[in-house]
Amino acid sequence: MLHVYTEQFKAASLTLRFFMPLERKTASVARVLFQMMGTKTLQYPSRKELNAALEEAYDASLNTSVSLLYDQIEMKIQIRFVDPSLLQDAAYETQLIKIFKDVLYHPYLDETLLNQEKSFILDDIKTKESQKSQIASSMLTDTLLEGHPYHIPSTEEAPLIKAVQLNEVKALFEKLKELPCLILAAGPLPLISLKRWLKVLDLTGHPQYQPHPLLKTPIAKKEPLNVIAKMHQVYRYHVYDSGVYRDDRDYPAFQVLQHILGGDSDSMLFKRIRETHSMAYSVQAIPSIKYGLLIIQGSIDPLKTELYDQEIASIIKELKETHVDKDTLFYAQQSIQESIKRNSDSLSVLSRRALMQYYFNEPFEIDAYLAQIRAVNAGDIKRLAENLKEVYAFKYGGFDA
Amino acid sequence: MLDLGLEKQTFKIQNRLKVVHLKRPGFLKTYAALIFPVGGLHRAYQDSSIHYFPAGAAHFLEHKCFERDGEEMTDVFSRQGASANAYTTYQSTSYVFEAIENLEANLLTLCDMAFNPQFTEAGIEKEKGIIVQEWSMYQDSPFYRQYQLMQEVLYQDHPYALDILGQKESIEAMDLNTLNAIHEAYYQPETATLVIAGDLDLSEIITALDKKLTFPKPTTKRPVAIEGAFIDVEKDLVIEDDVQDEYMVFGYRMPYQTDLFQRYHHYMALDIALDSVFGSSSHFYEKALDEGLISDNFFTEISFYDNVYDVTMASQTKAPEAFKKAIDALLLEPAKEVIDETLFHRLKKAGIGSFIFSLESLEGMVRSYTRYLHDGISEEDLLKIQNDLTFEDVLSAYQTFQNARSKVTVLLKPSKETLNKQKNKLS
Repeated sequence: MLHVYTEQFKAASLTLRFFMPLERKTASVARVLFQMMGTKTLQYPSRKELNAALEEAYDASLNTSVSLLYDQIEMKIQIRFVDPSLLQDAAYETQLIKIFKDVLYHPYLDETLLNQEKSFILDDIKTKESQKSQIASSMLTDTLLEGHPYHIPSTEEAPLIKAVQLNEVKALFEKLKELPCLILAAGPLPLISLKRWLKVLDLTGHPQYQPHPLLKTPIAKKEPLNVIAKMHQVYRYHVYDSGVYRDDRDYPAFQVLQHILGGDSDSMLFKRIRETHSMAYSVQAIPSIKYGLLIIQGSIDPLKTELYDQEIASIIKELKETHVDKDTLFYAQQSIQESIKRNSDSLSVLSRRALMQYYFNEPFEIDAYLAQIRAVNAGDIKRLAENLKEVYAFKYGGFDA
Repeated sequence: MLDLGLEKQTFKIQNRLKVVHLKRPGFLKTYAALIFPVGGLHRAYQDSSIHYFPAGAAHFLEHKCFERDGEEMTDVFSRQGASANAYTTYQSTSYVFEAIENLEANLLTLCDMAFNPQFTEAGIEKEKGIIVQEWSMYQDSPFYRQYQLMQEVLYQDHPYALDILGQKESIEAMDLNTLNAIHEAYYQPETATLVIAGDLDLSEIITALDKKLTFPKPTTKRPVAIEGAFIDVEKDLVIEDDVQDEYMVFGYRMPYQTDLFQRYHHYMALDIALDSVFGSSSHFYEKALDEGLISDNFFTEISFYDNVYDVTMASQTKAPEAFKKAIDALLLEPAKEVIDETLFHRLKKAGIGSFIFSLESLEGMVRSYTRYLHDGISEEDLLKIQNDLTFEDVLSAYQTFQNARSKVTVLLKPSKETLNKQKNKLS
């Protein structure tokens, strides 16, 4: 169990994460099950009643989601609520526990709800497919990560959801009772109170999820792809294999490199692509440490794509061939450090740090990591830049509507 | 009322700029926002006569205050350990930063860049290219275009008909003289507010700011109240685009109250009324989902700026006609039939919860506090108004909505080309 206790905030959350090995069909069944779990229960047999109970509990919220954690399907259920000590309402916490227990143990799993929730997930997929930025991003990842063991192609999502059957959902729900679980309590929820929650919820049957070594599969070089669509802008992606993964020693230096290249308004991309050449409103470098990649993403003027590509090539060449100057390095390091320190004022960031500590052995206390950022030198940046190999270029849009 | 231990202090710098300190114990960082009363709805300033300026000017001004002698001011903040940003709404422009250290230096930079900017012809020309790129980015979203069309038809000759960014032509029309004049009229310290949130003692910093800040000289140029005619309209529009499903937006424009207190009272009562009738625990929501009229992305929203007062409802739908009929029929039912008193009390309780959630971040806290600052109303005032609301107030506000003067629906559906693509994909 992870317990991030702090009185800094006026709201708390309790999150349960269940894990099972990544398998495409199961991921879809899990998505449907967890969508159904936050909807109706034995005690609250309609959405109306469950939502009313949450409103009555000072707008407490229930969130369920399913995501991929490398080779695992991570199924999350969370309740977020106002700090009980603020309210002169003795029954408040008991009511919250009752709701959460009911959602967890007695969800309403019938054919009508199954079809309804499947339809909402399919609606959501259609909405994503109606947005150019989403289409571009899905096409990028599907073509780039084709065949990768940690990736499920977006084209498979809708058919797999449609195929989910009630017996599969019920079977997964039964299996859930013995799956590895990770409990995370965050905010002003003291241990004595947390123990009460856990006693009532009775999660003793679940082994705690144990992290394990992860695959580092380099992405193979691919032919560039241009997809023409009626748009005012072009989404342009340049993808580089960086060879740096989450638990690598080079990760702090890689973060500094990413910041210098395209982290904020002080970055090379922002200054040259946006401010000097007015080619784009938005341009940035995005680290993808799960896959060892660095992605440069710009939404650019269709008439300037060639110039843009030349400028990107020139920026990368400069990074590979010259040492970044002292000031640039210092301000990038300072900016990252300050941003990490400021983020400590967010409960979701603190929760994430606790998770990253558990999953990847990253320090929860930030001092050690800040020291690693400070230790990065210009030689590290040049070495990592030299290792960047462009493996893919993707373009979406470009035909002005 | 709950005691949340929130403290508020106010100061005045050089007897001109109001500073509000929202104390929030336990937070490491400080979040500051400097707010000016000019936004997308403002279109004119006044000296001996009224001068109109192009749509999108407030947003353009926001971009340009962030540059000095070719240097991005965000870089200056970054070097001082801060992260800065800005945003323009229909009613105001805010310049913000967050930092743990160098507060005095960062506050000086924030005030100096906004009060004493240095615009150049070349800088303005360069910015046009960037803002047109920003505008183009939004144009690529069919949902944005659908919403924008609804707003255009509902508001016609009112400035709210146009986007905060303006149009391509109005962005291109911006020039140095216009920007300087708007700045002079609207960026006076007497009409601005500096809000600082965090766990700190401000007294020394205020003294330093008082000594070191240079404000613009008082001017004869003055802001002009938001203008614009309202024309009653009832229209049902259909647009086609490259979308995979059908999406319906309803817009209802209502008369606004001229009395400030009444206006906010009405707004808070309507907020509860809409939650009662259309919210996630309402009878309508459950039934419409069960009947497939709406999807779980259905929402209602109130736009509430100066003389702009409307309700938007939107959802993905499999049955747009039946959805529309269901809404029309529901709006004919007497308020007492669709809003019950238990629900009213429950939603008041939920309102307290959502206020507490808004305190979870300094950004959220400042945004809530400054949202209605132009009218001198804070989030705490809203909570008090909500606390005093009666069931009858809620019924009465709902009746105003039922009698909305203007109603526009816009259905966004797949184009023939998209439908053909869908068919080919299936076959």
